[in-house]
Amino acid sequence: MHVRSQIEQFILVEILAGSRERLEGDERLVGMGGLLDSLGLLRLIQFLEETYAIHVGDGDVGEENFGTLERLTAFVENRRASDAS
Amino acid sequence: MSHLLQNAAQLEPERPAVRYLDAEWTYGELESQSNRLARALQEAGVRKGDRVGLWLNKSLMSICGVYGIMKAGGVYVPLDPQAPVSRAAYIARDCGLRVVIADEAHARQVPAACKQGAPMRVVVCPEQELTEETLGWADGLVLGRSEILTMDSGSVETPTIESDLAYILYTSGSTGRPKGVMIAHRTCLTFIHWAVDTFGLRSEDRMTSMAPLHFDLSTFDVYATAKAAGTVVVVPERLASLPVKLADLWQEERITVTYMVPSILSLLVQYGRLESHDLSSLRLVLFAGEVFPLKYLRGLVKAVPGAQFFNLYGPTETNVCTYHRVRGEDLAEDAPSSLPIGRACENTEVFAVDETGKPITKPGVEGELWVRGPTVALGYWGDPEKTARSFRQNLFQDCFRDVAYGTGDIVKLADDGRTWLFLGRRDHMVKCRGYRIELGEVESVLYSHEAVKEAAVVAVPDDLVGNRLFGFVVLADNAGVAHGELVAFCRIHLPSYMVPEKIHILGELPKTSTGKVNRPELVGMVQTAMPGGHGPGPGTSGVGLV
Repeated sequence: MHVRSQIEQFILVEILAGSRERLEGDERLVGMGGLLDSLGLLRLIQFLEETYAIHVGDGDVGEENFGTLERLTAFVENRRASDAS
Repeated sequence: MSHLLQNAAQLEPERPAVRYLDAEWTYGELESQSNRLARALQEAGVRKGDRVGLWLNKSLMSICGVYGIMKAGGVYVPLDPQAPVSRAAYIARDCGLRVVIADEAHARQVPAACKQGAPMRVVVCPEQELTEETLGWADGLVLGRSEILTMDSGSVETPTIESDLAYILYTSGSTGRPKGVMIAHRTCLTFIHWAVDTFGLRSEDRMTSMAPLHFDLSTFDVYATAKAAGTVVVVPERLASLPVKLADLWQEERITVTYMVPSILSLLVQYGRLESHDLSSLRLVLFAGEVFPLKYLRGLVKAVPGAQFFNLYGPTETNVCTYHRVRGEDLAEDAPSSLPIGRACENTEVFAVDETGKPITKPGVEGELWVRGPTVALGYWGDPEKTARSFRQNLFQDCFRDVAYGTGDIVKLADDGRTWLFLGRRDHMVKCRGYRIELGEVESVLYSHEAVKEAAVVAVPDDLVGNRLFGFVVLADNAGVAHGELVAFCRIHLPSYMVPEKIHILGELPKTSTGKVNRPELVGMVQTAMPGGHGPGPGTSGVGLV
């Protein structure tokens, strides 16, 4: 839950600047109809790389990993686990 | 300019003119739809020279809207569909938007804009059945879909000539208010004719329409495509926040020509999985609006080896005025760090003037770039003073009236004596994702917050987005603000690309010996606080950044 709430807080406070109170786990984050624009995506990637000491590469940024808060949380947790092992 | 569409509709009535997601209109359909819209606007009272707002998300209708307005004799004024209502209301007041074409989401914001002084009286909503009651707008008039469909679709007699205004694009203004750049039909047509000739555009071409209508890159997509009777593929908003989807669109739509700001192209190189796409149809990649970092340009050229690449340059006030075709030597490891902006477009002249007012003829000397020719705008709407400051009599012509525009961009000539190199700005204007941002405009919003005593906004250069904005404020005595409050305040008043990422509160702003805000020191504080920053920064008044 920790990673998820950290990412949620970052998006709510730093990117959406308080225009929303909470995010649903299956809400669309990126792509058409998503909450973030391209600058938002870049800031999110930078936040993930700095906060969790992971590398986000070309192949990672797709709907399967970045589509929703749930998927993003799973991606970060998996990546941390595999980087740590 | 509406003749571009009319001619294409006669020549290629069955060819797809515009595509958006799975929908498309042929040239014949776009012509009929825009004729109906033009008649509806005329019935709503639009006369030659009237400004008409376009407040809608990208769609088939956004393209139809520009033609409908111009056919009615009006001047179109695109309102940023993502920007706060207060900004739309300001623009509506500034240029007197009485009639606005809107989609449902924005039509619903019209009553709020009117409460902020927008003089809007008629909303034309071509795709929905809306009424005054559904909008809760008792003193306005709403024309919905069925009313527009009853209009005659035959060609409209357009009362304008080429020196009339075609559109007004609002850009950031240093004094805190956006300024409206007035573009005449001839201004834009000169650029369009040049572009179609130079790039050999033809009816088989399929162009993206990436930039929103309030951004001048959009005029190439919409009008150069129409002149060539090609197909324009409207890129949905926010698609670029999943770069791989944008690459999918290039591939699936078999795009041949694309025009984007470098930051979006850089994003594609970095996160678009370009190597797993078939981009063999892409023959021409154009970019403008900011400096393209060479490392990403190299990546793009490698991913799309069959295409030609051009750097186009020109502020909104001049359309594109110089261009440079990317050559192998520009990308070499020992190449200069930035790409030239090139030489003047045909039928346009550019020159630079040094500090003493003399024209620059030798390589290496720095000066401000000036532009003259038919692509220069007519000035700023309703602001003769600002117009007079930037649009001036050509210093080197005293026999007849000849307006030249001073860009504020500092340039020099390359060693070949004819290629211009961009060096920077002489003021506080910066670019972020190609958008012009006057730091003074952001500062004036901060100053308007009651808790703020002093404010400064700085831009920190960034490879991927051009610049990142950071704010610094000193609070008024006894004032306090909640975490994130000032950023949220900026978001209410500014489009998102102008909102600082972070706003730091300081005890005082660092000053130079002449009492000005020491901006380099503020930039240094941000860079020091960033990961990978270089050691402890100079610090100011013992206040670190959090």
